Amino acid sequence: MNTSQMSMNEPILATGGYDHTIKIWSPHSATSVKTLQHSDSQVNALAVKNFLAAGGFQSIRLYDLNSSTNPIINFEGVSKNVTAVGFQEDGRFMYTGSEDCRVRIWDLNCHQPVCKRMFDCLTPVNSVCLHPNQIEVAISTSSGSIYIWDIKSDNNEQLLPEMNSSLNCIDISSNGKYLAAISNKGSAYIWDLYNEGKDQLTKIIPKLKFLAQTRYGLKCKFSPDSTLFVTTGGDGTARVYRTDDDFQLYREIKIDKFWIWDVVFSSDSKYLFAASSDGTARLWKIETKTIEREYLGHSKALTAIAFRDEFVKA
Amino acid sequence: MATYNNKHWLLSHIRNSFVSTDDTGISELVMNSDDLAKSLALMHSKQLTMSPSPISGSEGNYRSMDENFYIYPGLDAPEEEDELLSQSFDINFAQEGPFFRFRTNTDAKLDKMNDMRKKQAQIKTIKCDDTIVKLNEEMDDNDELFIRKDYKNTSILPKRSKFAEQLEKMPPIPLNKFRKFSCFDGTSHPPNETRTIQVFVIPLPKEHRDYPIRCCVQASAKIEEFIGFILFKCTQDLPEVSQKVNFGDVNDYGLFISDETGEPDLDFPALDINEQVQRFQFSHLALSKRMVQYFQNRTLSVASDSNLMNPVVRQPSVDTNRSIPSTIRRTEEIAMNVHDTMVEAPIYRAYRVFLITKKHFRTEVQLGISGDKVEIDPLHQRNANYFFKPVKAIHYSMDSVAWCGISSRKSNRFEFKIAHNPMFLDPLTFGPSTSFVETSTPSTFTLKIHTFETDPTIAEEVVAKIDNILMLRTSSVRREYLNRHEKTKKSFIRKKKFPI
Repeated sequence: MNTSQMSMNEPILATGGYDHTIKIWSPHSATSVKTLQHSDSQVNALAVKNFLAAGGFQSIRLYDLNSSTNPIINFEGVSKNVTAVGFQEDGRFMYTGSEDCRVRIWDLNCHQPVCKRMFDCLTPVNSVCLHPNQIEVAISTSSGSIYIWDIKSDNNEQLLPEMNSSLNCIDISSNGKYLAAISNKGSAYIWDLYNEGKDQLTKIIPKLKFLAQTRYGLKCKFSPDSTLFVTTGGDGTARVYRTDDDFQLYREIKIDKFWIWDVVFSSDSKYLFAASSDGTARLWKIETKTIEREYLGHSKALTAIAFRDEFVKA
Repeated sequence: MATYNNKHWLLSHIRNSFVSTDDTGISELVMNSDDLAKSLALMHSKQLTMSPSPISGSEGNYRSMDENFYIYPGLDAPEEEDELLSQSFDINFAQEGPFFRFRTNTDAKLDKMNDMRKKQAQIKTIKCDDTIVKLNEEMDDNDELFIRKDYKNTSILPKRSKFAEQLEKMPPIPLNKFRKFSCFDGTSHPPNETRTIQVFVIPLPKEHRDYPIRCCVQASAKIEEFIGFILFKCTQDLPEVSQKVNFGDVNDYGLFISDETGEPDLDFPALDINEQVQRFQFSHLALSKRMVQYFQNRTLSVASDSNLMNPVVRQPSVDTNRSIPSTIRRTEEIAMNVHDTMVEAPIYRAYRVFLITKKHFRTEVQLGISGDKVEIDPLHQRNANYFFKPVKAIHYSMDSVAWCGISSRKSNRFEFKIAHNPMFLDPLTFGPSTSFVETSTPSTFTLKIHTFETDPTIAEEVVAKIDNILMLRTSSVRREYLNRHEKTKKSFIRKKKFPI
């Protein structure tokens, strides 16, 4: 499959890392469809909707998947690493978090995208995720604090679950029930989310803390159907837990010697795409713990992965 | 000395300037037929010879124009000389091509900068000014942008993931054994130096073999890694074809210099696998199995293309693996193996065997057999000075060989013999094929036999190899041997049938 064959209606997998490129894959055939240039910087974070967004060192870039291999929009003005990018459900706005301690909301509806909102944290931002209500944002920072920020009303709440550790990743389940974060020490924190009223800020109630990874914790994600929760780390494992079974370990996926930097579930929550530091992305079938596909072509460590599925009527 | 009022000089100068500065060569083509300066000079000289005195009238105008016309010496010379003289020694064209000019580094740099500028022009840059953001926040209410979604009450329509469907339909893909070479892909390294080479992959079927695969590889990769990368690319881009073609191991392959049609130049050896790609500047290369395998493959493919080799190929089956019964496939494999050994026979191979001298003594030798020669070179002759005469190296032409066969079969040691005619006149050297044979009458058909001992497998291989070569080459010695052998056989039978 070449670029001309790539259409907007095809599922897309994007991977990026230290080799200054982003590869677009046809996920079912494991063939590389396109290689996008991400010059002068590694790729820290990826998100794909109508456009592909990539966060790197001092750069946020937007790529149009159907045009050239160069970005169409380059956002300047961030002085440090951009560590998190993501889109609103319909692609109306984009949110980014960076090590300059700021979370920015970019309006993509205008002809010229503009930064519409900004939130200042006290410490560098590690991860940002959007609540399913599309109006609240959860932020984790390198000092170990968590923020819940309402973009519209600008209300926010801060929480410090653990001192002297960095919370590397934060995620909210798609049913809006759980908030989870993972620390650099490998601890996973689970909170219950509770919303009192329509315009009230979501309350977070601590639920569980457990050692999810034996070494450095890197990523944590809920599956699209909210039944599974995965954590990855520096010990080369991705551990899948069942949310309905009080977060008991369900499956463990392991590769030798390398770190699993990023993961993303397939939309039916049966498969897991994992990007690891050996420069390879893999598709795992969770139930059988088998590798279904290998995405080969990067020459350096992979640090970010993004997946966009398409849906057909059943 | 030439002056600016000299028309001949001016015309020549203009003409030469056009010719030498026009890289396309069109000026030269256009002006080739009419050399104005030369025709003017010729006219001038004609007029001088016809009418030495000044002429008035119609020709007088022309004459009057030529007051300052001086012809350079040698213009009235014959054309061959003229061509030589017309070439200025100061104007030198590049040797590589008549209209090729090397681009300077500055040119290349300027082009690169231009490209960069064009690329930059396509990228929209948005600067984030924090003070403006604060203003935006105060001014806008953003009711349309930030809408709270009631995610709990939205009904989810039954949908099916397209990816899951595609994955189900796609057969399982086996893990690529060349996957470790994928990291040498040059397209993923914009800051690093890369090389783009068109590679013809000979082991592929004909329709794919004729077109090169464009490989962009890191310049720092070794040739061995490049070969791995090419094989990886083949298996990745042509998964169905590569499943049928078993590529084997990276070490089996060599990269050969090739022309643009994809024919490898076998006069040169394969590129050194330990060298880096950046050392070579080839635009086209051919990936092929190393020498022996190449000949084998080429002959096989020719045979199978023309359906001469194997009757099974003639069957109109698309998928040979499925439709052909296993027994036929076995016979096909056997036929192929026989064919392989026959094709390989004339290619030089050396074997370590023991030469048996004087019925008892064994000397380790290297037996080299090629289509033209048999070479026996002794190895490690310990104590040769004390008890034995050292065995000398023996080389003789394959045309002098009459027979070869296994003489005795012990459990793990086989003896085989090679009989050759030492008096055979080598057509190249016009002398006896061996150096040490004593003179005897040339008419006698004498055979000298060398006996060797080795493993059963090597013995059989050597005998098969020589037999195949003898089948291909019908030398006079061999014919003579066969005639005599036939006669003795007949007489033996006759004696048996009619005992006198």
